[in-house]
Amino acid sequence: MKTKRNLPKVNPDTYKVNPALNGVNLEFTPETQAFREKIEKFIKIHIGTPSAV
Amino acid sequence: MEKPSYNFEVSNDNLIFSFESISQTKIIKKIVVYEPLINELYHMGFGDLDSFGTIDYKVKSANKDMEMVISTVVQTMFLFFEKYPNKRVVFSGSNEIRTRLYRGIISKFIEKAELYFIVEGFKSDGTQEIFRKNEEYYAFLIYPNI
Repeated sequence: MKTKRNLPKVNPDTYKVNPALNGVNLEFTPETQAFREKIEKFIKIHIGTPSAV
Repeated sequence: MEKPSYNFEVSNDNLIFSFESISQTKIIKKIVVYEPLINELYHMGFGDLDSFGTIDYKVKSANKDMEMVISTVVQTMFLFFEKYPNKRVVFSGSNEIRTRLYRGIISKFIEKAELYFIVEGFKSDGTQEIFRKNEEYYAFLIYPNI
């Protein structure tokens, strides 16, 4: 049986909070938008409920 | 998972991350986005940010730093789950080649990943199972093993 571990803490020296990223208006290329819609549709059809495993 | 990674910036809500992919020939602005979908699920996507601020998940960067980029994305995932330990993240490659690449990377590190996460795979027909090496998947689901 595997031992569960707490998630490792990310080294705070390796990142910084940038408020400019908050609520940024995300714009996607048309191809990326199509991909997002495709995966979203897949998720809503197949993964709409908590894991069945 | 302790592989070298890029430093990055993060929004206050730990949903948007950005960093620079750096090679001798170019610097590419990368972005990782966790978008709420339904229930406790978030979609994680990452790609390049062009000079107009448009995000492209499908672009082929070819900056010869894939391992560092992937390692950085993993770091963003740790930070995401630090803030949202009860959420689940789903992701898929933007094409079949990338999905196979992700499957290969997960396979390589699955024993270590399972110390922290539950990793599941979804086949194209929606069949859901605990991730198994060498299985074809359409998408992946990951969440903390708590």
